[in-house]
This record gives sequence, structure tokens and C-alpha cells, in this order.
Amino acid sequence: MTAVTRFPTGGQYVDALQNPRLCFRDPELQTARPQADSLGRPKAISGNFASVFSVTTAAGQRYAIKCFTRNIPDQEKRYRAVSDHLRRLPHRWKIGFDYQPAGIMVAGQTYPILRMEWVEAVGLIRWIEDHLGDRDALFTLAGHFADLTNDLARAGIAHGDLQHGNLLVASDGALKLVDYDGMYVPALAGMAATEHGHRHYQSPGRANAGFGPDLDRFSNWLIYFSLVAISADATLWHTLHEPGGEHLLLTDADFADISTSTRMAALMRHHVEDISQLATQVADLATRPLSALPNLVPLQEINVPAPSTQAPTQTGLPQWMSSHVQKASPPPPALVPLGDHHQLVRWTRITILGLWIATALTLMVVAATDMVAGATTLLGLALALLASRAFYAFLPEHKVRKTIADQHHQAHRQTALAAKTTAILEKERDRRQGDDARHAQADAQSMQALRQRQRHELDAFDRATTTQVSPLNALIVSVSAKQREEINEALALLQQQYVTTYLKRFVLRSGLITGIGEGTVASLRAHGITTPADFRDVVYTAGGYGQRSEVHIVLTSGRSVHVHGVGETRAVALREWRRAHLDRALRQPELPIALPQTMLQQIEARYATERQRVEAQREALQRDRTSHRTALTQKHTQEMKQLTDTHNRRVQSATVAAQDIIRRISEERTRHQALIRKEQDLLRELQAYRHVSYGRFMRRVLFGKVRA
Amino acid sequence: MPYSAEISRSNPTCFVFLVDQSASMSDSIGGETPNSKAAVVSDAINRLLTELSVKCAKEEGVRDYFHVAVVGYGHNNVGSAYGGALAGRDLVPLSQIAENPARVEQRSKKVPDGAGGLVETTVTFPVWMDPVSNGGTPMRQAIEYAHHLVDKWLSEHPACFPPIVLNLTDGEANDGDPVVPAAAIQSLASADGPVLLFNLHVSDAGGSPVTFPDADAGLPDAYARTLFGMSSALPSHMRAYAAQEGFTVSEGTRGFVYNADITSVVQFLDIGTRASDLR
Repeated sequence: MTAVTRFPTGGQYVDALQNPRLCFRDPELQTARPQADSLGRPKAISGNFASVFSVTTAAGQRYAIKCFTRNIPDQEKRYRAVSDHLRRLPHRWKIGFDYQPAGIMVAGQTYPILRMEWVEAVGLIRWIEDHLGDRDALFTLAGHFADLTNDLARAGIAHGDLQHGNLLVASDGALKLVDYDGMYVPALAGMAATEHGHRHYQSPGRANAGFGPDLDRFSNWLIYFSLVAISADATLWHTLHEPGGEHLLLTDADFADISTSTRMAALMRHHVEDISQLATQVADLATRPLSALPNLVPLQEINVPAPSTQAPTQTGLPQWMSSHVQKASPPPPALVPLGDHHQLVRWTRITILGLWIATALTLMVVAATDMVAGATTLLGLALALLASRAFYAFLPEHKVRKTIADQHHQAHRQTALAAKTTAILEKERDRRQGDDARHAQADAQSMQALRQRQRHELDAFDRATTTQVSPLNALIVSVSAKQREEINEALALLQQQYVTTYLKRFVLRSGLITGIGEGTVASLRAHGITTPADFRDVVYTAGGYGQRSEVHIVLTSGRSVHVHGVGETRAVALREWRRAHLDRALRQPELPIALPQTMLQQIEARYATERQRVEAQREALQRDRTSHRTALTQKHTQEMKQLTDTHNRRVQSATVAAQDIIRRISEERTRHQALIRKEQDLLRELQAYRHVSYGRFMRRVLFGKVRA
Repeated sequence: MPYSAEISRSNPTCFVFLVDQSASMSDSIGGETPNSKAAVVSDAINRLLTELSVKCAKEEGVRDYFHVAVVGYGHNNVGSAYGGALAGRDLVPLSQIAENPARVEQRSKKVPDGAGGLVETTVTFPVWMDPVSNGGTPMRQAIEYAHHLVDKWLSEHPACFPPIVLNLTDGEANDGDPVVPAAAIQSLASADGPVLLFNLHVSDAGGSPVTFPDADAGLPDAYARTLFGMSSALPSHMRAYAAQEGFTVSEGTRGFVYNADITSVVQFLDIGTRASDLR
């Protein structure tokens, strides 16, 4: 067995670091100032094996100093091997360190320290919480993690304790791996592991795994899966990660009994197929030995069938449409001129002229008042206008233009309507998305509430079980203790009997002991002392006032007697004589060192009945409790299943509805686009008839030359 | 397996310190620099609170892995022994304890200078409670007080690592037999196992210091034997740590210390995370 080294406590290191000049051996560290806590004392960051302090040297160099609170066997050898192995690797995740075997002095003793490079980075859990909902960032980090595990696997290394606390994310998104205390490198083959890793990151198979390159296999899959799942569905973090919990989505209890784990059930039934498939795979891996687990194979991408949300429509043309509209327009159609239409122009002129003449004649014949004259003139003018419009309407190009204009007008109305419908649909989509998000959050909350209630219920049940079983355990322990005691007592009695028999063989005779003659032998015999078996000891009793102290011999019965003639010298000689024989007796091979089998069995049988009775009682109790517990967990699984199913159904129907509305929006947009094109085509066509107008026709009628 | 529950922020546990503040605690305990038993005990409590705070310190500060009560008993009453901002409070989350000592003392200390000599330095020493010694020793009442605290805690945290009650005394209860309430508090359990009752006996009865014995044979007096008898056996992983630290242990090893340092109990606690440790 190696010498036991008791290490200082975290508090003792805090005391020591108040005087860096005295505690450190490294001259650079002697100039350092530790970072202080709120009381002004060196601020520790502690784990179960060590406390780490951040110090800054006089030259401004910052280090993390790890001070060990528990002994780690072969620590120096391990760190050297890890250091040698890592030195050859170029990886970005490495943290530089320097093991100093006698780096710090505490209470006059030196202890090792690990001086480490200080990294500005945040822990994985905080990083996740800062990036919840950022699907790409989380998926990218999952990819970085997969790269890291492959780096380790290729180099034949296992970290041994992959978990959120040992994975830091730097501000540039780079993943940093820290804490190499339990690391396996090939040079350490054959040694034992120093730890089993974080409980929430190990499969039940870790306990029996040796110390080799496959230690991280399960943690690799678990961490990767968790990151991917959180990336695809951020609500999982709210429903499965306990606030402040030392885990990601799953805990050791989930791997220990997958069938009753509500967390596993929620993941394995998840509506995103990539999640449910990975969850099923992780659940399967938890049941296998580490050596049988494959290396991590990351996903290329993650398919989330949730509706993809488009950027909201800006004012004016939506972006997707402008590209169509801004295409070079086809060349405008040839201008359609106003035809000559001599006949029609002539007839129009004749009609107008006729009307004028008729009006003039009427005025002359009637010689009416001014007012009637004015009205008649106006009537004539109006009739002329009407007639000319009627003739214009006969123009064929006007007829064509009018049809196009009507079509354009209709197209314009339809376009406006389509835009309105699209806007309504988009509004509907936004409303639904808001509702879906609210429902998802409400579901997440009720799942979390249910989980907490179930956990409390199960914990309280387990507590009641322990409270009932513990007294029976204590009873069994005390029965065993009593049995052991009785066996020991029986053996002691047997040994005493043997010793007595042995001592009885040596009868005191005159001259056998120096100074003890016939007279003393007789006096002793008078008190029943003839062999070393007849007395136990010699004592000196304090005499009463004014009396001398007396020598007494303690008989086997416990009574002490004063034997006439036995003073201090003779008493000592007697005691020595007894002790010599006693020593010899105890060295005899015949001295019983164990109870005879029959006696042992008798005692054991007596206690076995009692123990069996209690054990049977305990077993019955445990059976009863186990069956009740199974019923309780089944009830829990059922409750959670109902809630999960409702949630999944809602998500699915929401997805369908969202897809439907998105399809409708897209159709409506296509229609809108087509209508706009149609409207523009018609407008262009209409433009070609810009010379076909009533004004031009009238100008022609009134002022145009008319060929015969 | 009992005593394997995780100690974490989402699954914290509690610590109840019971501190004898009776008149007999003013008696001096032998040693190079004689000190009253009350001073020895309050130093022990202050160190335990420091150790717990350091053990639970993380980047962002001290985490509430534990809620801790310091209950004084003496002067015929029982109640919180915290001074300063925490005065009057029972179970306090560890982060608040770490932030609120009654004061921080500067203590001078001679430390080896590394070149064979000694040099005097000062170190800070946070103080949460001061030595008090007055009146009788209502130990029975104190254990019952702890019983209430722990029972309430357990109903709220049924799956926690079993609460630890640590009684620091010179052993002379005068309000009846403490063995009965001691057994009662140990019959309380979380899902992870029965409550642990440990005892630190400070005494001027002499005899050599004893740490984590497994029998009462070597103990100097009846008080020590009574306290040993009412102490819980160390759970197996604590036994393993005790063995690592060089103590001889067996299945009967109990959480009892006679005139020796008890701070190692804190070292035996696994915070959070480890599945288990190997040797």
C-alpha cells in the first residue's frame, strides 16, 4: 500500500493563497495576485478533487492554478503522459498546462499544483441558454463537438469526463476542452481510471469499463444528440432541462431505466424524425458496453418540418415578385392610327351641318324670345354632339380599344383583389404562427409542471419506502452484530477454559519460585492457590489512615485475599510465574482459535431465524413497494404520454394548417403576379390605341380634309 | 443504493449544526494554547462554513448545494446561533451564508518560510458565530429542534442526499436522555437513506483524540460513549474517503470525533456530479 497523503482542504488553500510569495515555489507565481471574492479572499472554483484559483502575475500573465484536495494515484505520471501526448497534437481545443509536483506549500508541506493557461470562455450550459432558438448556432456547435470527438478518437485519447462543465465555448465559437485529470492516452494503458465521469453523462456500462480509448463513446453520442435536439426544438430545453440542473436533457436515472423514463419517451416520440431516431439510438447505446459503441457519426443537416417563415411583405412589390416585374418588357405593339373613315366623317359632317341649318331655320321662323333662342341653340349643339358620338361609336378601332380598356379595368380590379386576399392570408398566417408559439409555450409549461409534480410524487413515494425499509435494515445489522458478539464471547470462553486447564497442570511447589518456600506455599494453599489458574492478578490496596498498604491476590472468582507472608517481592514473583505460564498457554497450538463447527452452527441457527424473519418482512415490504412504484411510474408515463400526444397532435395539425396557408399564400401570389402581368400587357395594348380618341375624330370631322 | 443521491442546485440537501453553548463550555480544554471549549467549537463551526462555501464555489459564485442552520443550545433555550445579518435565521442557502459573515477577522499565523524558518503572516478568518457559554445543556431539546427543521426540509426535498446533523458538545446533557431524540431523528429518511447524525465531542477529560472510531472501547468516559452510541455509521463512500485519508475504518465506523478536527466531514461530501470515485 502506498503512503497515504492527506491533502489540504479548499479552505486551507484559500488561506495559503493569501500569501503567494510564501506559498508558491514558482518565482513567476510568487509575484501573482489571486482574483478575490466578495470578502476579499482568494476566489475558488471548486470541484470534488480540486479548487482552482485565477491569478495574475506581476507581468500581467493570467493563469488558472489547480490545487488538489484529494489524492490521485500516479498523478504526476499521468499528467506527464497526457502532456507528452497532447504536445504532438495541433488541435484548437487544447489548453496548455504545467504540472508542478511541489508547486505549493501549505502548513509546511508541499503539494502539487497544475498551472494552466487561462481561457476566456463560457460553460456549455450558459452558452446554450444564451443561444436558445438559434438553430444554426446550436447545430454548428454540435458539428464542432463532433469534430472534437473525432480528433480525440483519431489520436487514441479519451477524456474520461466529457460533460458541460468541461466544455467551454470561446467568443469566436471555438470549443475548448478542459480538465485532463482523468484523461486516457495510449501511454497510460494498463493503469486504472481515476474517476467514473459525471453521472449524467455516463451509461450504466461505464462502471464496468476499464481505462481505455472508448471511455467517451456514450458521452459523445449523448452530448451530440442533446445539442442537435435543442437546435431543432428549443422547447425541449424548457421541458427536459431542470433549471440549475447539472445535465443537458437527460439524467442518469433516464439511462438506468429507459422504459420508465418520461424524458426518454418524450424524445423518442418527438415529431421531428431526426430527434426521435437519435433518441432511440442513444437509448439503445445506453444498454450496451462502451467497447461495443460506434464512433460518433454526425448528421449532415437536420430536417425540421415546421413551417418556414418568410420575411414579412414590405410595402410595394414583394421581393420575390420584383424580379419578375423588372424583366425587360417586350417591345410595345405598333401604334394603331385613327382610320380615315371618309364615309363616316362625311356623314357626321352632313348630320352636324343639317342640325345647324335646322336650328337656324327654327330660330328665324319662330322669332322667339332670347331665352327660347338660347335653349334651342343648346339643344342643337347637344344633338350635334350626340350624333357625332354615335358616329364615333361606329369606328371599329374604337370598338377594339373599348374592349381592351374594359379588360384592363377588370384586370386592375382583380389585381387589387388578389393583393388584398394575399394580405389577409398573410395576416392569418402571422396570427396562426403567434397562436402556435403560444400553444407550444403553454404545452412546454404544462409538461414541465407535470414533470415536476411527478418527480415530487415519486420522490415522496421513495422517501416513504426508505423510511419503512431503514429500520428493518438497522435490525438486520444489529442482529448480525449480536451474533458476532456472541461468537466472540463463546470463543473467548472456550479459550479461557483451555488456558485454565493448561495452567492447572503447574502445581506450586516449594523452591519453584525464588523466595517462595514451604511456608508460603502452605499459606497460599490455605487460600486455595495451588496453580497459576487459581488467581488472576496481584494488587496493592491503599491502606487506611495510618496503615501500610497491603498486597492482595485477586482470585479467579474475583475476590481478593491477603495471604500472610506474601509481600511485594513475592507477589511480583508470583505474578511473573503466572504470566510466563499464561504466555506459554496462549502459544499452544491446541489453543482454540475458532469455535467448533457445531457450536458455530448452533449460534448461527439461532440468529438466522431472527434474521430470516426480518429479511422476509423486508422482502415482502420491498415487493409491495416495488409493485406500487411500478404502478405509479406507469401512471406517470401514461399522463406524460397523453400530454405529449396532445402536444404532438397540435404541432402536427398546426404544421398542416400552416403548410396549407402557406400554399394558399403562394398560389394567391402567383395569381397576383399573373394578374399584374396581364394588366400591364393590356395597358401596353391600350397604349397602342392612344390615337384612337373622340377628340381626334372630332378634329378630323371639323377641320380635316376629306378626299373625295 | 443509499447515500448516492446527487447534491446539486436542483437537488440540494441541508446541514444542521447543533452547538452546545452551556456554562460548562467555558471550561478550558488542554493543549499547547489552552482554549475554552466554546471557542474550539465556534472555530470549528466557522471553519466548517468556510469549507462548505469554498467547496460549493463556482465561477459565478457560491452555489446553493446546501442550506445550513447553526442552532445553539444553552442558557435553557435553543435557537439560531448566527450573528450579523443572518441572526435569528434557521436554514439559510449557502450562497447567502458565504456573502454574510458577521465579520471577517485578521488572524496572525506563523507559517514555514520554505527555508527552514517561520514567518508571521496574517490570514482572514470569516466569523459567523461567536463563542457563548451560559446556563444548562438542553441537548435533547436541540435535537428535537433539528428534528423539526429536517422533517420540514424532507417533505419539501424528499429525494435529497440525507440531511446531516452535526452536534458539537462537551457531552453533558441536562434535559434528559439525548439517545431517544437521537434515534428519532435518525429514523427520518429521504428516498436516499436515513438522516445522518454525527457528533463532535470536545472534552477536558483527557485521553488521546479519536477520529471516526468503530467501537467505544477506547473512549475516556460515559459521555463520549453515549455520543458514540448515538452517532450514525459513516456511509460507505465516506468510509472510503476516510480510509484514503489514512483513518482505519470498518463497517462499524461512526461519524464521531473526540477532541479532534471534524472539518474532514466536508471533504467526504461529493458535490453534484460524480458517479462514484475510484481508489
